[in-house]
Amino acid sequence: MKAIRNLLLIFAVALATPALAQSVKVKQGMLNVPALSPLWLLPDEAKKHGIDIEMVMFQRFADARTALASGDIQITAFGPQDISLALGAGAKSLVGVAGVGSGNDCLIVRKGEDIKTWQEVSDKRIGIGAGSISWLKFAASVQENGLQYNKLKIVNIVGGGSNYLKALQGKEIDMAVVWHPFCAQAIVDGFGAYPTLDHNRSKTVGGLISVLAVNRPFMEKNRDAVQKLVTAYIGVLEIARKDTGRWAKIYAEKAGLPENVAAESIRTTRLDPVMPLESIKRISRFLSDNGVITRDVSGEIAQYYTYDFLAKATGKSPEQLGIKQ
Amino acid sequence: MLKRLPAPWLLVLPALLVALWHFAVDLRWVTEGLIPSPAQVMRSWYTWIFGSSAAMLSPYSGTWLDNVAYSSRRVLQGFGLAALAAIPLGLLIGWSRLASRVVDPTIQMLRPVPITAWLPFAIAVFGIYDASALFLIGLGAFYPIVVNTTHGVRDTNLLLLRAARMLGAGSGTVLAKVVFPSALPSIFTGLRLGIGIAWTAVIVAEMIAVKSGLGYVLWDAYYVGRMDICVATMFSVGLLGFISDRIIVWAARFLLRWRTLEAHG
Amino acid sequence: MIEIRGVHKEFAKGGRRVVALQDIDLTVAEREFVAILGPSGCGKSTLLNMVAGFDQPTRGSVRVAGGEIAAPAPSRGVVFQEPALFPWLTVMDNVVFGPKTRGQPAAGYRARAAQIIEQIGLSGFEASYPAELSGGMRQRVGIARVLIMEPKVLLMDEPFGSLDAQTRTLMQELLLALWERHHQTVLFVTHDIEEAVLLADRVCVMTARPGRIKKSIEVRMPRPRSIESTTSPEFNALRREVLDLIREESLRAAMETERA
Repeated sequence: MKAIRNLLLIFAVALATPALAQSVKVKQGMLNVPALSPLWLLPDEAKKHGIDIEMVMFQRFADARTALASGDIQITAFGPQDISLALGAGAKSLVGVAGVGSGNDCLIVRKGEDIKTWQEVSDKRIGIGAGSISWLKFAASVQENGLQYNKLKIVNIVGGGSNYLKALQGKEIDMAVVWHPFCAQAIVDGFGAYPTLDHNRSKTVGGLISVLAVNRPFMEKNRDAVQKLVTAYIGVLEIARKDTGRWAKIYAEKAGLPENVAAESIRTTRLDPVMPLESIKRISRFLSDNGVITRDVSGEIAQYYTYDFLAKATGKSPEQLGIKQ
Repeated sequence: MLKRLPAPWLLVLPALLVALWHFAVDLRWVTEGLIPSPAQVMRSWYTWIFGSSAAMLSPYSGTWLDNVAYSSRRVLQGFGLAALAAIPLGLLIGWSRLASRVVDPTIQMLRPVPITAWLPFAIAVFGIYDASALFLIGLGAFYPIVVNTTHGVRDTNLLLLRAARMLGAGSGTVLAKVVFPSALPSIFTGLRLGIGIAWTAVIVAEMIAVKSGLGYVLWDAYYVGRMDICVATMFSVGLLGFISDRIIVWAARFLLRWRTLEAHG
Repeated sequence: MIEIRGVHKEFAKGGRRVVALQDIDLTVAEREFVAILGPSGCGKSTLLNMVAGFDQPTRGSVRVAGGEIAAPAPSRGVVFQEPALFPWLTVMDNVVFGPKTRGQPAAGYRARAAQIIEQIGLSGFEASYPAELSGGMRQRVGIARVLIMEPKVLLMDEPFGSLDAQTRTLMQELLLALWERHHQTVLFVTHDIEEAVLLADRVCVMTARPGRIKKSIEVRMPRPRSIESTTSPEFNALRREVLDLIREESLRAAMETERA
């Protein structure tokens, strides 16, 4: 009796499976930073288009980048330098499909100890998150202001932004080059302040914070699904722009932050799907000029970004979406 | 009689592994660009050692020797501290039953905790200074040294102890002049194991907050996708660990000459 | 010199009480050479360890030169079954370990050491390590390091047991020669009948466990003795007498082992 019952069960599942296979399953890599926080809303939005998203959390951008390149995940967001870094090492399976905006990186100093000019930076101890776009912006700004990066007192702190804050408070560093929510945390807790210095102004790197990227083999087999994802993504940006309260709330909940820290974190963030390709080329050049990657990929990098999906989702032309910026 | 294998035979296995690695990358068994080829690693390593250390953003040109010096200093200091603490403690635990009962259980309970788990504690207590790194390296090296020293003490031939006492030696002399020399071979085993772990620990330790060192370069390189430098770092640490081990073996051979002698009868 | 009175030794072994020695009464006069002979497991080494100070009797007393024994001391030098030399020290350093530990001046003991090393026939080996020496040579060093302390009493626990027959003979001759020089009080444990009769003034035969002194046999052979002495009729008669005593006990010891 039991055997027959089991057989019937297996038949039922086998018949039902094609029906379930209607929706496309996608793994989305996610990090808990304000820059990517609108993406918390993506699974709900994507469901309306028939895409079933499973979130995979990562601690480091390098991990997400590697997972996307190998195809373990199909979509994620990281900095504008990440595709260039991967290409420099020979990885060709990443494609940028949209921008995420600007304003998320920040500098933070101890309250009352402002740093006003780039010259002052030479005898301060700087804590930096290596490999981040914040680091690139800072390095580019340093060079553009006539200083030599490797003559500075750089302290490389790994393992999360809270270590930067501890180091700042404990006077082990004088300035941290990080990103929200850590600056926000320091502000809200009262011991930190934004310096007069601004590193979002470098000519080379500009202000772009993140790009949305997909795995190329996945994209080539599922162009339809990728289009739906980008369309859903544009919808997400709209929601976040219109209702910053809801955005802050969901970010606070997912990151485990108090609401005022979350609010401060997203206050200076400007959401924008534009992908400034010239800026990305300059970043690539900057990386090879400074020995971060071994060859100049600025000539080929354009092949690893596509405006097709974005154009269809927004109804705008590639020029309007940043191809010449 | 087994003849001693001529040197070229020792290279067969490594050569096979390198060949396998080369083809894995070349034939794309792994996603392209995620694993560097042996040639890429060698090129990058070469630049790292001999390249010009011009004003570079990333420390991958001409900075190898500096990084080696920095990490080696850390390892030696941490290891030195560990030995300084562990050898006397091991002698005490092996010699005194009271000390053993009081101290040993704590040591055995802390031993399974991996070095990475100590990282947050180290940062909290020592901050981002060298002290954190030394603490972690020393902690890693501590356990094999203390355990092997204890073992060496407990293994002392009872007749040697009796002979010494019969000849008029007090407890202090027995400990210093009989137990300690008798335990030296085991102590050296502990030191060898300890230095190996110290090199393992340097990667973890240098993650914290340093400007150079092999551990720092490993993590920095990973963040910017330079797996070729990561692999070169791994090889570097392996090489330095090997050299350190050999130094201890030679020191042991020198100090323990009496072990290798044979009777002429 | 050595007075053993009513000594009784028992210990716990796996939950059972084992009586090793029972009612031992033994007196060793000054400058007397006494051999203790008995089958395996009869407790003769245990007895020696108590005189040495490594162990204490459960009941009874052991006195040397009138004083109770508290701990091991150089005045009661011990030559063990295995040479037990310090393997990381040279022959010379092994021999001078005792005087050096006691803080005696180097000039004094180095000269004495050289002398003794010559007496035991190891001149030229001062800088050798124990690992480079044969078993017999090592045991000679074991004797030397004890002699340099000028002990009143010499305690020897089957010192030649692990050596081959030829070496053993040489060692026995060496011991006779050394003893002729200094005439220490000697308590010599062995299971070898001929060795006991050759070396000792008196042979005490012990019973199987629990060990008691079965009988004390005087060895009235003239001194100085040598290996030739082992062929004399007196020697053979003594040997037979001891052999008969021992045989009973050996059988009993063997049966107990089977039962246990």
